[in-house]
Order: sequence, then C-alpha cells, then structure tokens
Amino acid sequence: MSQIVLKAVDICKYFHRKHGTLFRKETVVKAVERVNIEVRQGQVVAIIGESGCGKTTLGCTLARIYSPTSGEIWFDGEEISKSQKSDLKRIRRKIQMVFQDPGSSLNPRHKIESIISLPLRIHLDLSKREMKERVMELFDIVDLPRDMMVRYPSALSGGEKQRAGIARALALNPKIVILDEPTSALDVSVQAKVLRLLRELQQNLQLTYILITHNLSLAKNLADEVSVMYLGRVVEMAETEAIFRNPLHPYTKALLSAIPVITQKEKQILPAEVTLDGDIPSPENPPKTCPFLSRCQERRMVCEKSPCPDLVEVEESHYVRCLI
Amino acid sequence: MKHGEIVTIRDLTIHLTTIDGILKVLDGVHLDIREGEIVGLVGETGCGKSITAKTLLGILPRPPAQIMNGEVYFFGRDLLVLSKKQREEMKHRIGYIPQDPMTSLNPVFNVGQVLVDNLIWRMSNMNLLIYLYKRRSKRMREIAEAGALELLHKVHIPNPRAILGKYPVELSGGMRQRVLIAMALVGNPALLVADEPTTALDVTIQKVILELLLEKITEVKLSGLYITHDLGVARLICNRTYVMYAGTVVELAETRGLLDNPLHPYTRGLVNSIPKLSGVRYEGIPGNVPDYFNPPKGCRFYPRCDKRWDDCEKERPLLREVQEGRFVACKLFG
Amino acid sequence: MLARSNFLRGCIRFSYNRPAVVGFVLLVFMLIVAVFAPLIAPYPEDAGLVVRFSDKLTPPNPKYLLGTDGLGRDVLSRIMFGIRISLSLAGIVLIISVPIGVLLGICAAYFRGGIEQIIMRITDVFSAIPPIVFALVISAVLKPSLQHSILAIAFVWWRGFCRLAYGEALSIKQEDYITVSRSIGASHFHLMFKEILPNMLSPIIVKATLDAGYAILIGTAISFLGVGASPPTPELGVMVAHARHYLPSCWWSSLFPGLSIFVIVLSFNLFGDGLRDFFGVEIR
Repeated sequence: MSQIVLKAVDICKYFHRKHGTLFRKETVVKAVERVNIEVRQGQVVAIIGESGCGKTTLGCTLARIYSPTSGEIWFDGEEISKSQKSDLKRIRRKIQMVFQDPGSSLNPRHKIESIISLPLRIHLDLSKREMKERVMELFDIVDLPRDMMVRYPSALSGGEKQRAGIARALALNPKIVILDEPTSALDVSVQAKVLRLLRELQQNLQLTYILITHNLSLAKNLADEVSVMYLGRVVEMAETEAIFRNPLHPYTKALLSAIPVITQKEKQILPAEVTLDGDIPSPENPPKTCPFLSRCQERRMVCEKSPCPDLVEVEESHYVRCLI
Repeated sequence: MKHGEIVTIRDLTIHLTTIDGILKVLDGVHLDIREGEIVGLVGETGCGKSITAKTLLGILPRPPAQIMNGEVYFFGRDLLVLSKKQREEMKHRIGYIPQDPMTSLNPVFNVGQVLVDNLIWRMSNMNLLIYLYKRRSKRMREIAEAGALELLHKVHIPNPRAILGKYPVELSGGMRQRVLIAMALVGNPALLVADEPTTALDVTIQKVILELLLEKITEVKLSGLYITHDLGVARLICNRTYVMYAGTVVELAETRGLLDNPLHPYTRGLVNSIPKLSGVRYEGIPGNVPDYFNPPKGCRFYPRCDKRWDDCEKERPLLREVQEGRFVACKLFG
Repeated sequence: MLARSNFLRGCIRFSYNRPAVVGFVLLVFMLIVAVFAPLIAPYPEDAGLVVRFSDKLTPPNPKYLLGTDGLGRDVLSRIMFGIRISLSLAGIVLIISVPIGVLLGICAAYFRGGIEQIIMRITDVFSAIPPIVFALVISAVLKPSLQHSILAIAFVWWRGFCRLAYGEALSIKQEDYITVSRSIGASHFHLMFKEILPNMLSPIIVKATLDAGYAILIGTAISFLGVGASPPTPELGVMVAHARHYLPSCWWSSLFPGLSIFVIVLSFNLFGDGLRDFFGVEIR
C-alpha cells in the first residue's frame, strides 16, 4: 500500500449569500458537507456527480483555491486547511489543477510560452535559457509542436489548448493534479487522445490524480477508486470495480442506468433501469434528512423520519450512505 | 422522391464566406427522412450537422452562406426554390427544439406569454394583421391559454397552471427543456428537428427528457431529425443514423448495427474513441479536422485514415449501399 | 487555424465600414495639418497678434482662401492652428484622465470591499460635475485660459474611464484564467496589470477615441463662452464667438471654424465606431 498523499477530513465549504436590499436575508449554500477523501501515491481517485453536487467546489477547496469552512486537509503530512501566504505558495507548487474549459483557462492575450512558464516565473529563479528549456521540455511531454510557443490561444484547437493547460499544471512537478472535467468540452476523438496522454503521464511521471467528472465511463477507464457525490455529500465510495459491479446507493444505480451506452456489450453491464423524478435540488438550505430523499425510488418511511445517515462500510472498502 | 419520404436532401453543397476566405462547409450531403422514423445526424463539432438542419428549417443566414448546389425536398417541394411566403407556410409543419435550454428562452417573457403568443400566431394562419387583431381578443387568449395548459400537460410538467406564470430563470434546465419541447409541439408538426437538446443537461435529467421525447414521438408517429454528438443518445432515440465528417456523409445505417459494427474508418475511429463501461481500450483518431478553406479533393477523411489507398485522394467516394440498409462512402467498399 | 494575424483581419473588418474609413482618412489629414501647421499655413503669423485692418472681412478669394476675420487675419491659417490646439487638448486630456481612471477602476474591481466603495463613491461625486460648469468655476477662481480649461476637463474626465474599467475588470476577474493564475500564486500586481488589463484594452481604446471628439467639443464650448482660451489664440470656439458679431453678412468667418469643429468631432466618432468593428467580437 503506497503512502497517503492527500487526506481530507470532514471538509465543509459553505458560501454565504445575502439577498434583498432592505431586509438582508442570508442564505447559506452548503456546497460541500463533511466530505472525507483519501488519496494514495500513484492512484487515480474519481469524484462523480452531476451539476450542483459540489464536486468542483471540492476540487477547488482541495487545491486550496478556496479555504475550507471547516475540516482538515492533510497533504504530505502537513495540515494545510488554514495555511496562508508563503506556506500556501509552497504548497501550491505541489497541488495543481487543470480546468474544464480549455478556452477560458488560458489568457487570450498571452502567448502560450508565457502561459506555461508563469508558474516557473513565480516560484523558481531560473535564467531565461533554463526557463525556455523547461518550457520546451513540457511541450514535448504533452506532445505539442514546439512552434506553438509563440502563438496565442486563439490559434490552438481545443485539444491543443487542453494540453497547454496540462503542461502548465505539470510545470512545477506537482505531486497531485486535480482534473476538473478535463475532456468534457472536447470532441470525442480529441478526448481520447487527451485521456491517453493523461494516462501516459500518470505512469511515466508517477503522478496522482483526482479526477472530477460526471462521465462514469471515463471514471471506469481511468480511476482506481470512485466517490459519488450528491448535494454536497459523498453517498457512495468504493473501488471502481466494486461500484460498477455492485452499486448500492439508489443514486449510483440511477446514475449508471442513465448513461447512454453505445454498444450492446455495455448495455449488459448496466443495472436495471431507473428513471428519476424531479430535478436536482439546489444546495441552498439542504434538507436535514437523506439528501436524496426527494427523488429516491427506493425510499421508505424510515428515511423520511431520520436525519442524514452516516457513511457505513458495507463491504470491504465499499462505503454507502443509506438507511437501506 | 420515394413514397413515404418526408424530407429528401440531395447533393447539398454550401459555402460560407468569411473574412479569411470561403469555407466549404457542406459537400454533397444526402439525407432522407421517412414517415414515422427518427433519423440521427451524428458528428463532431464543425462537421456540418447544424448547418444541414438550419437549411432544412430555412434559418440559414444567406449572405454569408451560399447554397452552391443541391435540393431540399420537404413533402415533395424543394424548399430552396420556394418563395419566402411559401417557405413560411411549410415551416409551420416543422417543430424545432434548440440546443441550449439555458439560453433559448427569452428571459423577459414568462412561459404563459410565450406559449399563448405562439398559439395565437398559429391560429391566425401566420398573417400579421390577423395576429395583431386576435391578440387583443379576450376570448382568443382564453382559448390559447387552454391550449397552452394542454401542451404543458403533454410534456408532464407538474402543476402547469403555476408554471404558466414562471419566468425561465425560475425554472431548472430540465423544466426549460420541457417547455421548449412543448413549444415545438405547437400546431402538431409533422417533423421534429432537435438540435442536441440534451447536451447541456445532466445525465439523469437527460434520461428523463429522452424518455419524454420518445413517448411524444411514438404517440403521434412523428418523424424527426435528431442531431447529436453523443452516440449513446443516438442509439436510444434514432432508428437510422447518418454519420457526418467534415461536411460529408460518410455512413448511414440502422443505429444499433452502426454502433455495434461500424464500417467506415471514421465511424470505427469514433466508436473506438469513446471510453466504454466494458473496459475495452480506447484510441483516438490521429490528425485534425481538415482545413475547410482547402479541403481534400477526394475523400475528406483521407489524411487521417489508416486504411487509405492512393485512389482515395483523387476522387470522392459516393454513398453506396453495401449491405441491406447500410450505406458507406468509402473506397474500401467498392 | 488563422492564416492572417488578428490585426490584419481587424483592418479588413474596419475597411468594410465605409464611414469609418472616411473618418480615419479625415483624422489622418487633420493630424498632418496639426503637426505641420506652422509650415503649411499660408499666413502662420495670423495665429498670433497680427492685425490687418486693411484686409478685414474679405470673403474667400485667391489671396485668403477662406476669407479673413474681423481683424483681417486669414481664416484658413487660424483654423489650421485651431485644429492643432483642439487635437492637443484631446491628447492632453486623455493622457491625464485615462491612466488615472483605468487605474482606479481596476483597483476598485480587484480589491472590492472598502477600497471599491471609496473609489466608486468618489467617482459618483465627480460624475455629477458637468465639465463646462466646472470650467466656469475654475476660471472664476483662476484666470481664464486655455491651459486651465484643459485641466478642468481632465479633472472630471477620468470618471467615465474609471467606471468602464471597473465594469470590465469585474467581469474579467471571473474568468478561469484569472483563477488559475491566482492559484499558481501570482502577485496582485501581475494579476491586475498583466492578466486583467490586456483583456480590457479594446473598450478603453474605443471609448478614448469617442471621448476625444466630445472633449474637443466641450473645449470649444468653454472657449466660446469666454472662459477658456482668449484672443488672440486661434481656438476654434473663440473664433466662432468672435465672428458672431459679423453674421450673417460675413458668414465665412464663423462658418468655417464651426464646420471644422463639426468635422473633427464627426471624424472621431466615425473612427471610433469603426474601431468597434476592428476589435470585432472582443468588445463585450
């Protein structure tokens, strides 16, 4: 068992919004509610969920772009949830994030070389020549043609832009890369190339990934471990094999059966059809009971009366948050 | 024009004039939609599927776009040669479901206003003067409101009366999409054109909307053109599917057969690129989409194809029936 | 893939806008006139203290192409110097007000909270001051002069740019690439001026161009009222004021200066409009 690189304990992230002009009513958006994540060296951990489940917020909090409202984050033996300025700067070298939309994560007014070398310029003290060499090295690693260095993002295709984003994330040799929907904005044939690149990079550079996505097929192919989130909480957590072979939580089952699969073979792997009623609730003022109650097809009387259930280990390393 | 065909597109070639030159976006596109069937149009970004649909709907902006060649038959009449008025009349037999529910509804009108307006327009036979007159009549509005409620009921919106007064910003994505579907069903169209209606929705909501669409389609035996880049969705909804690449149609087949056993190298590449639950390895397609200013003279997939011959570069392969119901545009197949 | 550079494509888009091209040509022409006025004006000394009562109020003729004014000075030469003055006025006002306004706007949007409130409320106060009224006040306190009127305009002109920069910076701040740079650890300075600022240049440039015309108009109005430039300065507004007394019989001495003002302002407007096309979709 390799060592734990990142451990998040009971992480909560709330946003406070004030409404109205005269009588300022305050609502609390509980984007992330008491989430626990453990990531080991060389692993790929996937966080799955639909919009509003808090996965992006969780990713940003783990990357310390946001500060957690409460809870602890242990990175490399150090507690970083409250770190400030210079500590944070040091930590950020090791935790990097790749964003979803390659079009908007690159400054349209900067040349690619400048974009990728930014982390180097901020954190390291390299000579111009060394900087350029490192950038070229990064270009090679992500398979970008070197003549792209002097161009602007608008001249690049979606896949190339995403590669540039990945190169930027790798510039400082981070330990963990958090990938937020790295391929959702790309065409299918391009997605496959970027995914292959990610997989190669992971193996060659011994990287650890936290993959945030709504695409379960992607998770199945890339991840070792999966956490399913709904309304800010983790509702099921297990090794990839286990989740697909034996999904326990009703939401996971619904999610799986909703995947529009392509081939007959895949159809046979899916669980029974479940269609959910209603819409995804908003994380503003969430209910005190099980978060999935309103749409659950398998709900019982006890679910409506009890408070939110805890995460319970049902099988070996397979956790579910459900009363059933 | 065979019997039972609602839409027939033949040899459609469109050029787009831009500052940097002329984009040859469509080249010789063939498409058929028969009565009672849903035809899928599948392809990646920029392959021309939206343009094809817009031509059918008649909303292609003509100054930048030029139709160089081709015919678009709708119920036996060529839309490209009709006058504007005649085209308007044909248009109201088509229902259109646009792509992004978040931006397709005008935020300053509530659901009731939009639906009632639409219905009154239909009832006035597309005549502006009659429409303006009818709008003011209370009785007309009541009739239209009843019609609107019925439409909302059809798309399974709970508590339709309350929804009538809601503005788009108060509705969720799935709800908005239902309203758009309701709007498309106004006037009982014969053909439904859906442009990636579920792309912007979450996967569980998508499932619900797809089931709704299927239900509505089978209810009145609608025909449809369903555009998507998601092959899995095509498998669920479409009877037959066209695969487009770089402005050309490369394959056509019954959907399940197409996906379980793709023939054209591009289709194969596409299917292989998608991560599967069955854990089969996935590859991408090497290379990039062609430059539309100077597309390859022969097969447009030629530069990226792993099975290419020299012949492929010189001449464009035509869409040919190679098995029962399966058409491929590739030199590999004759 | 773009075959041409963005600049070139912008130029082509600009050229589709005929009035804008006309504006551009006129501006270039006037710039040349302004720069070379002392050399190409037929009677350069007429810009100063010259009086030729013998030739006063002659209509346009081969000797004085646009006629002479009430003191016998060549209208054409004076207009040339007047253009020079007006363009300089625009230049100075912009050089002072744009950097100040943009800097304050970016700071307000970036730091938010208290700084934002202070800056934006001050901007509100300044927005309530019409430049002409302010110039009147200044001239009441200090001696009326061209320099003072320029300062008065510049003193209130930054507010528009502050507001524009504030709005633009606020929306750019939300973009992913700013979040990324911040997460990498970029400094405030870097974020404000190397990341945010380059993305808001287009609207600022367009506004500056359109404002140039408007500032010139206000400058001439101030001088027309007598609280700006004073005779014998060949400022266009002064010329119009001075020539009022000779209307309608000696129409040339007020028409031509007035026409010049019109042409200057119009050219800036047309050019600025064309600049919007030049920048294309980059303008929000």
